Amino acid sequence: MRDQLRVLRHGLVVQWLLFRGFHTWKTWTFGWLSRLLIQACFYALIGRMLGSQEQVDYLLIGNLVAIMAIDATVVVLLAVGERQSGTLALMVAAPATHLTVYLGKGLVHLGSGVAASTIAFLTLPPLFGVALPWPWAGLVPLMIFVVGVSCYCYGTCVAAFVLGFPSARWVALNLGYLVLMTFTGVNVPTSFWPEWVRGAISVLPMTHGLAAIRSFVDGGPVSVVAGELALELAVGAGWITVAALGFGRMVTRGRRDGTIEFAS
Amino acid sequence: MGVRVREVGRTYRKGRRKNEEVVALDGLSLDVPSNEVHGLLGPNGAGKTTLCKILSTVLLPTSGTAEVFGLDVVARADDVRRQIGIVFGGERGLYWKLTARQTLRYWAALYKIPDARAKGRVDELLERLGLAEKADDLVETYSRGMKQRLHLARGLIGDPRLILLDEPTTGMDPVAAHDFRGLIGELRAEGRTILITTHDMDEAESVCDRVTLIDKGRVLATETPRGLAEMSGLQQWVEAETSVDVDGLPGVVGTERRDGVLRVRVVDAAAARVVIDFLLDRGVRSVRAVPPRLEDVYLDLVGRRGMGV
Ligand SMILES: Nc1ncnc2c1ncn2[C@@H]1O[C@H](COP(=O)(O)OP(=O)(O)O)[C@@H](O)[C@H]1O
Ligand SMILES: [Mg+2]
Repeated sequence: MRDQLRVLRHGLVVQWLLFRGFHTWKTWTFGWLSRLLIQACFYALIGRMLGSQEQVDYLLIGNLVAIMAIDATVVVLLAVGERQSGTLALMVAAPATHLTVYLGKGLVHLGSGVAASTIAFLTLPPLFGVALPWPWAGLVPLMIFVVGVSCYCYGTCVAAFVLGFPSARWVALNLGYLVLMTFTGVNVPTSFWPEWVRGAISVLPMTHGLAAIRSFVDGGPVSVVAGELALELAVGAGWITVAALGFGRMVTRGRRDGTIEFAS
Repeated sequence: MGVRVREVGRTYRKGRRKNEEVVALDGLSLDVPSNEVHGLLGPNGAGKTTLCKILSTVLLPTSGTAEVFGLDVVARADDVRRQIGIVFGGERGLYWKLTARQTLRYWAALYKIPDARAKGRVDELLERLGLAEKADDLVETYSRGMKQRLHLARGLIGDPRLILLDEPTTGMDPVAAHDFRGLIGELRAEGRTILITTHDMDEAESVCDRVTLIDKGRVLATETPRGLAEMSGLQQWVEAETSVDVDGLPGVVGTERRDGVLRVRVVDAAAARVVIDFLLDRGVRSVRAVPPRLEDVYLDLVGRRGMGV
């Protein structure tokens, strides 16, 4: 266990250093964050064009939280990055569990997502006249964090798939993200979808967490909010279990097919 | 036994529909006793990297078995991973936006070394591989030789009993390559077992206790470099700076001239003696007998096999 935590921590540190080598706070703010904020604004403006504040509220809250999903699915690219830098074989041959290394590295993106989503939550609602129940609204970033965790578990699961099928990375990344945007109640209420689709939707990350946040902002009962959040965490636990199995399988597949290359 | 490989086969599927089969290893067997420095020599595509990958658990054999210190590389992969260090040549396998120190600390964690011990071990390796001064510079600013040394340090981080070196000196300058040979000697003195693949026959001859020549996934021979030369039945050479003609002498198989140097190929040491005496009698200085070099043996074995097919 202590070994695992150390691996997690060092994975986080290294990814943070690599992230820092890639982003300065300026490029993160103006290149990455602003793009995410603009996307959320875009949807809120659609709400405004539709002419009702209710629509604006719905779309803005949904897209604020969805910002989290973008970062959480970026972990998919970590799997490919490891191949590109020629370190995958070294990682597989090291005694540490591969999944732990990935989880540690992904934490940087989870952090980036929570930060972006929280900044959006603090800055955009006033611009669009979305009323929030302050000071209690201060709890929303915590809920966003819960959503982030389960999205990140889901992203790690997609990453496991990409580890085995590297050429599918962009499709997997976009599909992974679009599935969340489409079905989990970001822009369209989940009740829009037929019953049988809803069954599948309830095991997607963000569905329950977003429902919890919407309910909380609307002053819904605490029991509903807490229940939905618990479900969100349960969904995350499910995805991480699948991810763990998937990582094992994909590494075995790579060892069998001979796709884990030495760097030469 | 450090490494025990029995009848290992490995095929790859290739081509657009994965229907072409490439045989990389064809029933290869090999024993490397503990604490031996063993060279794996062979032309490109011989299967050297494939064997290294199997021993390092990143590739499964299609048939046969391989063990590292008695541990099966498939069934006990987790235990094997604790025993081995991997080093390969080239520039990849490093994160360019990290420093050497950060790189080594990271891999120390992946080798489950507690932080307190890792710190000391990293300092020691940085020192040992001459990276201490640049330890806090980004890898991307390193010369090729420094990257190579960082690869080596990384391979040693887990204190491995078996070190797999896949063409570790590609792109190293002569000084670095010389230091590298010294390092191999030290590692052996520490009791480690080393399997090294290389193209460089001089390197193999100078660092390896024994070498295995492989071609097309099969072992051609395993011997000490010296023994291989003797066993090969290859003729010796006599070299001299002269224009004297020795073609008619007994035991002379052939001659060649390059840059004013006469190279005479003779059947054995006695014949070499005859040629040397003959030349000395004619006042030629700088005459010497040259035993067959590993390179000659290699060319002979691989070349001969090539022609036979
Ligand atoms: N991943 C792979 N897919 C298909 N063929 C491969 C793969 N890796 C190696 N080979 C083939 O297997 C043979 C042995 O390769 P390798 O072990 O890399 O040889 P060496 O390291 O001695 O040059 C070569 O014919 C090579 O083309
Ligand atoms: Mg090779």
